[in-house]
Amino acid sequence: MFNYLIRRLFQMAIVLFLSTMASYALLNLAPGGPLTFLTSVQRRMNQEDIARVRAYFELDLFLPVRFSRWLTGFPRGPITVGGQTYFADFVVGCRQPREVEIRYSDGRRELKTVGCREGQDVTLADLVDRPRSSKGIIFGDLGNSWQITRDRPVSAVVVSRLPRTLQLMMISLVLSIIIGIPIGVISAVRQYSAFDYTVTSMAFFGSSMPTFFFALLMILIFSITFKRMGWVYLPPGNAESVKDYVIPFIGAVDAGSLKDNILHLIMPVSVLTLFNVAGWSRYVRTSMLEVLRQDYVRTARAKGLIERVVIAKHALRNALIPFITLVVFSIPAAFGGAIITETVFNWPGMGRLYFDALGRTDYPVAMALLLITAVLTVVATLVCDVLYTVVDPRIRLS
Amino acid sequence: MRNHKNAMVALAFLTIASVLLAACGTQVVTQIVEVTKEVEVVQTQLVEATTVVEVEAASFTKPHPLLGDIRVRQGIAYCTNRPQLIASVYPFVDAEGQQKQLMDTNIPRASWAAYDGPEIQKYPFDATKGQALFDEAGWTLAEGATYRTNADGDEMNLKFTTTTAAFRQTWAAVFEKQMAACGLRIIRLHAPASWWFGSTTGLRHRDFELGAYAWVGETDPKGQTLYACNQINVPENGWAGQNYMGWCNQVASDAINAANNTLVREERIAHYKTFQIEFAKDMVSLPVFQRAEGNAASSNLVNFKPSATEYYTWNSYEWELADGGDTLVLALSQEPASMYSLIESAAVQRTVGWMIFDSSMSQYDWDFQPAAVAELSSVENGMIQINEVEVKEGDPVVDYSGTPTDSEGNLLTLTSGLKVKTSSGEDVEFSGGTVKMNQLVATYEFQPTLTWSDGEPVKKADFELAYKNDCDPASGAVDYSTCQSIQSVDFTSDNEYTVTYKPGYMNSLSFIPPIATYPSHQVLSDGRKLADVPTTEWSGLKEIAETPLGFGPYILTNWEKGVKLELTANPFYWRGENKVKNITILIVQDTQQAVAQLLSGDVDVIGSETLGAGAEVQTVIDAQAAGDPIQVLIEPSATWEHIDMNLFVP
Amino acid sequence: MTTSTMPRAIDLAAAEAMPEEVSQFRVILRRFLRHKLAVASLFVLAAIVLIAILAPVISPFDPTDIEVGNDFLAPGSVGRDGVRIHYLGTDTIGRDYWSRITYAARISLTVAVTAQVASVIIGILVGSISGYLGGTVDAVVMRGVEFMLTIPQLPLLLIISSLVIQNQEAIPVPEVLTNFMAWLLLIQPRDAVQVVLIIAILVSFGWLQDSRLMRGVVLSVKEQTFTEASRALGASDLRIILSHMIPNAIAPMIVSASLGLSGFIIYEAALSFLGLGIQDPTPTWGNMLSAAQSFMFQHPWLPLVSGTPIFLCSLAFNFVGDGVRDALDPRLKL
Repeated sequence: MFNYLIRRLFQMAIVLFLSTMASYALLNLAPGGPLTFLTSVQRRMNQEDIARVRAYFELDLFLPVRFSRWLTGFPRGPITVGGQTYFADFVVGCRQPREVEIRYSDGRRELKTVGCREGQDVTLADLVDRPRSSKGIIFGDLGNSWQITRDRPVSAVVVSRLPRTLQLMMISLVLSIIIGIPIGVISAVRQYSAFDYTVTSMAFFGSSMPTFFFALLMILIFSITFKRMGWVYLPPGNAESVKDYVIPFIGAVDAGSLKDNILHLIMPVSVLTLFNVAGWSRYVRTSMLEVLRQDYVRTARAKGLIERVVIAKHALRNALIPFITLVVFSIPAAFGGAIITETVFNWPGMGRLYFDALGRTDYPVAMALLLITAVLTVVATLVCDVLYTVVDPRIRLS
Repeated sequence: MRNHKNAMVALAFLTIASVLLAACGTQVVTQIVEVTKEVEVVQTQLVEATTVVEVEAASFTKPHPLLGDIRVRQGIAYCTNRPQLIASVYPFVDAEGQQKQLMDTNIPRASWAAYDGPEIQKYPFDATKGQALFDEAGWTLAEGATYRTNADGDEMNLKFTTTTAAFRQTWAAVFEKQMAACGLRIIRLHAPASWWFGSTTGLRHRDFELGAYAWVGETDPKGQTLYACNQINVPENGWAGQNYMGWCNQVASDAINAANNTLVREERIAHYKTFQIEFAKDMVSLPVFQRAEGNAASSNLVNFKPSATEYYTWNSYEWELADGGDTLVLALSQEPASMYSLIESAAVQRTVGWMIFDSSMSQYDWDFQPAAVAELSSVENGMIQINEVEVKEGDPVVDYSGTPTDSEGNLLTLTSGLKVKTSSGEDVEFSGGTVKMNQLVATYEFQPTLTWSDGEPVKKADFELAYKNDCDPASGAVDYSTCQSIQSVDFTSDNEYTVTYKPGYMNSLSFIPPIATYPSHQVLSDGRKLADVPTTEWSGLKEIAETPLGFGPYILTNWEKGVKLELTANPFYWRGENKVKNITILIVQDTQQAVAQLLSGDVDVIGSETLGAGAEVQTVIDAQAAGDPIQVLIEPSATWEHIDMNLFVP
Repeated sequence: MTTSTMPRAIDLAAAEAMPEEVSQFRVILRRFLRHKLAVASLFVLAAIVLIAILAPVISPFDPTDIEVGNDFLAPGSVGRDGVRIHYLGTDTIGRDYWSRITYAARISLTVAVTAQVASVIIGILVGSISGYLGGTVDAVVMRGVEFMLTIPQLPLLLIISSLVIQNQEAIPVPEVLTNFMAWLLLIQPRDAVQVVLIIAILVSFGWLQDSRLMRGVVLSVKEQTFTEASRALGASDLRIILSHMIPNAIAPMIVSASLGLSGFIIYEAALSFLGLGIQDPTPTWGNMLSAAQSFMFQHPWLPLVSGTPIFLCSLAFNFVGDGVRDALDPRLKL
């Protein structure tokens, strides 16, 4: 077991490193970046201006160098040993790449970037007085944001969004478990009953609707139409209101109060919960059906135990084993937030932040969020595997 | 959600595969021959049997087979039914409104520079005429065919690239149909904006045939960076420049340069007229329409005066709530990255910035009005002087187009071969001796009562600090052309300074104060004085980025990241006290959500940057008609859609 | 499509097969028929498939015909020629919504079914190999899948889109394939390239889930006594996989495939939303819904109409999968 854990931890580190590297490369190779909308207004720029802005965001460094600086904070300049500097002329980037045109004999022409223009190399010595370098992710410095909070620490943004995301996701997680398990159990026990059909339909209904559509529909009905009708309505979005308001039958609500917060939670939580309950209750139903026809359940019934006891004590326990995986895996997702739901309901959480970061090509923020999710996912996988051995002795870890 | 994740993951496979394919493909070819700076075809006996020559990338020189022909370009224009395009996107605009949105040149009709004489070639919808032009160009329609072909049997088709924005998908679909009716096949590509406007892709590398996007129209018609010959973006100038069509018409280029380098409005109008005639004749960029944009606010808000050319918060000091309330809630589609105006220029930042910093002048309804400046500097009121000076070799100057640097970013000095504008208005190439040039000396006077929101009056040192900081190459600003055009500055008093520009600098916008203000007295939380902080640290300072001092009507007191910005009235505001005491700015990314909040009363104002011009405008119009207490103001925006035609291919 | 025609296919085969098999098929069919919603769903699916096949016959308008000014007509409005009727009204540029929906049915269903079939095949192969061989192979494959799960997706989409845009001509899509798709879907071969690429994109992630599922089944079956027994009797690896692993995997695979089918229809919508899917004017349910969602507040029937087939299909696939699962599992409620 101990050896297994060590081996898995080692594998985890490799997976994490590779995935971080892949994410970093992908984000940086994707079109876009902080220079994207630079020329969307009329503006006189020359190539020196472009080179300066690229250097400001360190885009003039080669990708591996940038990655290394992001991950570990190195290199920060030439290596100095005993007063002697080495590698000061080592080229680590290029301010202005050189482009050539390739002319094929069949008349095709193609532009390609090859190497660097003369005198535009960036060397290790040039890195010494770069103000923007971070200490490196592995030392806990997530770096500075490019866009969302320009030039200020990423960690501050992430921390500011975390509580709201956790509030939303945890509530819906708990509700989904509370609602999903009983529904799954009952529809398994009463297979093909009216209840089963109704619940199954509702479950599939939840998973068959695109989230954005469902969320918008709720806003249209419960906020706009209901308010116009003078009925009890729900605030369409945000986590809290700015102004105090009055809702028919509920009465006055103070902005920022608990009541206000709860009212704002109802719609996003319902959307997320419905989505989860849909999948989870099906899951529980399936594994419950699976277990109910096992020999030991039949034996328990044959012994004359009350059906309720059979189900609760013998069947349910075993049926819930695979369910654990599902729940554990939704924890990293909870930290990541729900992109669409948070965006449509304007919930100030991590999902919206991620969406925003990608939209505005703020890669330091996006990378931070990806890293957090990746770490949690890898940990969750390990936890699942270990939990399996705990609950099901037939599975061996080796 | 997890499924979704898997989905994307697997895309990786495809990507990696295609990257490898792409990489391998070209690698094979380039390895064959590597000849640099030689335009000579080398024969090789390798399997690929394709010979390859590598040359230093230079101008796009090969005319586009279709778009290089003016008859094809004009044919496209005649085949375009623009009122129909407008109707497809803005069903809520009536026929009269549609007419207002139409443009015949690059200048919106509401601008003082727009010319509408008979010399302007217009392209009203006329498919017969368009088809005749295609025929003339050698693209004929065979019996029973849908699309035209040339003598070689090539089909007449053009790629049409634009973004994935919903309204562009809509009008592009209609445009495609209109072209098909004329026998031209349009191959539509809706690319992500990050590719289309990317720094090394799309427009910037002129990777398109027909390309649709919008220019944000401005109060001043400008246009120099878009249409002058030296603004064509090609590899040799590092793709700098915004003349994406590759259009070089000397008459037009000279006219647009001249129009932007004089302070006399009559002259500018004349130059713009010349330019517009050429622009319409050559048909290199088809103006499709000015967007219609909506601003919506609760009817409780009095003095809500949005304008096409100004951010709607420009007159927040005049705002009032009809019910006497003291809190107003605005919605913004995006959070400003920072309140440091030097490095963040997004519309949302400017919208908030107006309330905190005020602005030297407002740009209401297509013209400039003084705000924090006491009056607009002009030649007429003597605040701008044009002096004739004699310039000799080695003196700093700006060139004939008003540019202070060469294409590599080095400051210009008068050297032989440099084209400059003489004081008599001619463009000459310097060849030694001296040359007489004009030099601008401009004085800018601010309101004498400007006071920082901490009660400290604005003073000379504040301007000096701004000049020192904003013109520092390490400050992080993008564009230093104004700084680079300044020869010297004389800070004469606490509310006045005089700038002497380099000889030859006659920029039409020189009446705008080039130097801002920073509170030089401000003491930071770490005990340092703002004036002592090196410029590289500024953008990370909380006092600059998040809680800046300004002399505008409001003070930013609290900024809850991603949620809201809270502002309170500035007690020291130079215009006197505001009626609305508190303003909260909510960040509402989704437009439909913002509209829902307006209708539910959570939000009082949605500006055009948030409401946009999509289906949501219709929603607020309908709501207003249904009796909801809101006011909706729709007008042709300064932003105009157009189809650029790439005249040359690499 | 495959699911709906399967019982018939088996029926034909069964007619000539041995009596024992006939009776087993009867048992399965009888069990399937007990699931009333599944049977109803089968009819719904059949109807949708029929609509898709008959699209050119039953749609009064060309799906790409534009009538500016006739936008947002209410369902049932009479067209400009005074004869034809817009059964479901028109969209933002006056295209007939019913015609678009029917043509979209062809495309969306083909995309989803093709992608699902391909994913299942790849998933079964990878999952059974990984699970059966175990050891290093298993570790590498599963860590690989795990690794892929942690890679960001949206930027990937952006990269792919840009690659597709830049290299649309360079990506080698077999002409036979695009021509077939163009013929099947009644679209231009040039647009069919997009369809093929989208299917490839969907498959490239679709198999992950299936391979994990397959591996799970293989792992559990491997530990069962009957596997050990047949191994003791000298059965080869391939034979064990074919006779024990695959049959055991059928039920979960069908459930996963039915859920997957609805998933693929929804992903296609998501891709369209990002500007990466099959693009207008080629209609798909997905791009129609994402285009219609901004009219939610004024013309709610537009998103409702384009959302309904997605919803219905997805629901029907789910129920049918449910029914087949119950029917196929031999140990269930015997």
